[in-house]
Amino acid sequence: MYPDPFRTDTRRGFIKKSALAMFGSSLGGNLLGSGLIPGKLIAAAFPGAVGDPYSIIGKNPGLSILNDRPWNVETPAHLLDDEITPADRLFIRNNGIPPREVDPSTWTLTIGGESAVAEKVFTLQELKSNFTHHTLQLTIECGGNGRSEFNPPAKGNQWTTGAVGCSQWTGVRLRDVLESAGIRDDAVYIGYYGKDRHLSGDPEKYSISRGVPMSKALEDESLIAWAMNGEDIPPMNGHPLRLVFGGWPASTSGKWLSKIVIRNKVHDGQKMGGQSYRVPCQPVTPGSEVADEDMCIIESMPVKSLITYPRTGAILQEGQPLTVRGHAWAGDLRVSAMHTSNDFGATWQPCQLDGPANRLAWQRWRAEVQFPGKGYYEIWALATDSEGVTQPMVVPGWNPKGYLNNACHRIAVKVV
Amino acid sequence: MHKGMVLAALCLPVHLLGNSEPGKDSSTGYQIPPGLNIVNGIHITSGLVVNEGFEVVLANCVPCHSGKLIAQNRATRDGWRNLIRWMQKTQKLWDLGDNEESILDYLAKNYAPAEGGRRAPLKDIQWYFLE
Repeated sequence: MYPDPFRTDTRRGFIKKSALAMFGSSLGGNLLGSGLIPGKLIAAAFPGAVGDPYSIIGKNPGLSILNDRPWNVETPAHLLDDEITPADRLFIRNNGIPPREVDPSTWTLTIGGESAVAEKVFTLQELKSNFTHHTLQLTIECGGNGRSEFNPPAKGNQWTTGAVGCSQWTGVRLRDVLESAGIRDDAVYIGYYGKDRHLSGDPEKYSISRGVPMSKALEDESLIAWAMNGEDIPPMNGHPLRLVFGGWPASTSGKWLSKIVIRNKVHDGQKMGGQSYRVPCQPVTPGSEVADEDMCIIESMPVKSLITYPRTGAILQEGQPLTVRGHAWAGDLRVSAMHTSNDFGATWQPCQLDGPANRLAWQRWRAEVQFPGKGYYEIWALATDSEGVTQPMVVPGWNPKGYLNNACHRIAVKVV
Repeated sequence: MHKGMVLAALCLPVHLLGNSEPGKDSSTGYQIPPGLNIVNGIHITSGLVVNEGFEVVLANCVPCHSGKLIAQNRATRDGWRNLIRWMQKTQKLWDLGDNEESILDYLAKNYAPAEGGRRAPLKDIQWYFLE
């Protein structure tokens, strides 16, 4: 159990019946939820109405809140320096209203769908007892991480660099659980459903219901997880149960997981179609309108890296050497090389690069950087994946929703 | 109805009102609402710029999503209109009627896209001495 997250779900229904609602009628909407009345009063009248801070208790105060209804919270690069992302530093990307009361002892997961041989229901305890446990460090990154740099601007939460993390997840293989229900030969995709509700409060609408092709679902590293870093998953990150698909848009890793459907076609849940988590199948001119049928679903994320030490803005004395370090990851692939530049990409120096803790975990890198004299410098970080593809130095191909910005990370340094 | 009347009708205790900067914006004649927590022209509770059209945006947009979602986005008037149509089609936003033009005026003025190149200079750097 954890404190009630904000509840926008009942406000609209409540307000319709409320005598107070008439005060807002001349403005066409309602004033009660609008902030025209000071926050403390709203909090008293509608507990949690404006993004109840209790629901992100346990998160590091250094995280940046992009949106509080629903919570969208990112982690500054220098707070991602740990090899294994701690619970207080893993970003939050919510689409709807998380479940208010979670009781792991009564939580169930249903496996169904037209390509399941039989529908099966597991309690959380049955999942833990019936299947082999696996613990893996897996990189999850929001498809929209880096959106803030696109121009013309793309609508949505304006993520900079912090919608990524690599925590250690414990659970069972999705494959083992799907196989226990039986997978028909015509299966092509899985889709998930979670217990978060649509922001409008409409119980008939799902906030998000995405999935992955069978090939990804059946990988050794695809988990149904109940623990993160050896503890319960934080409430806003999906407690008590979620999917984790390392290397793919984090929106595929459904939170508050209650049902998985095995589909005989590409899953058609909320935010699978239209323009959501899709990019133009062919590159387009910036600012173009792209028809839905010309948009393709994002699968493996592109190669990317972060400088997690030092924090941007470091001032050094002339001659003082600088150790820089960070992480690099490459979707389904491995990172094969890492370089930094202190001259705006004109020259690149190789870094020391570690292997991943396991497949689909990010890789640690470090380097000693020298400066030729006083002045303003930027350290740029550039990863290369196992197929020889590198990060772009400028913002990559524009796309309507602003996904997949893997431009090299930059920090500012001054030598005085 | 003016929101000042709403606040009066609710008999708010003074300590809930927070800092306020009531008065008139001399450049536009916009009457800044009293009794709200406004700092540097931003309404702290919603995160929105307090400017002509603020009340109608607050009343129609912020009941369903955070004002912070508005404030972090940039679009042209057409872009904002498309977003309203999308919310009406898929997110149960109501018909905004005559208020739509006021809302678009406010959004297009206060949250317009900035001109920029393929990669902007690093900004908001907090310099510190690294030992």
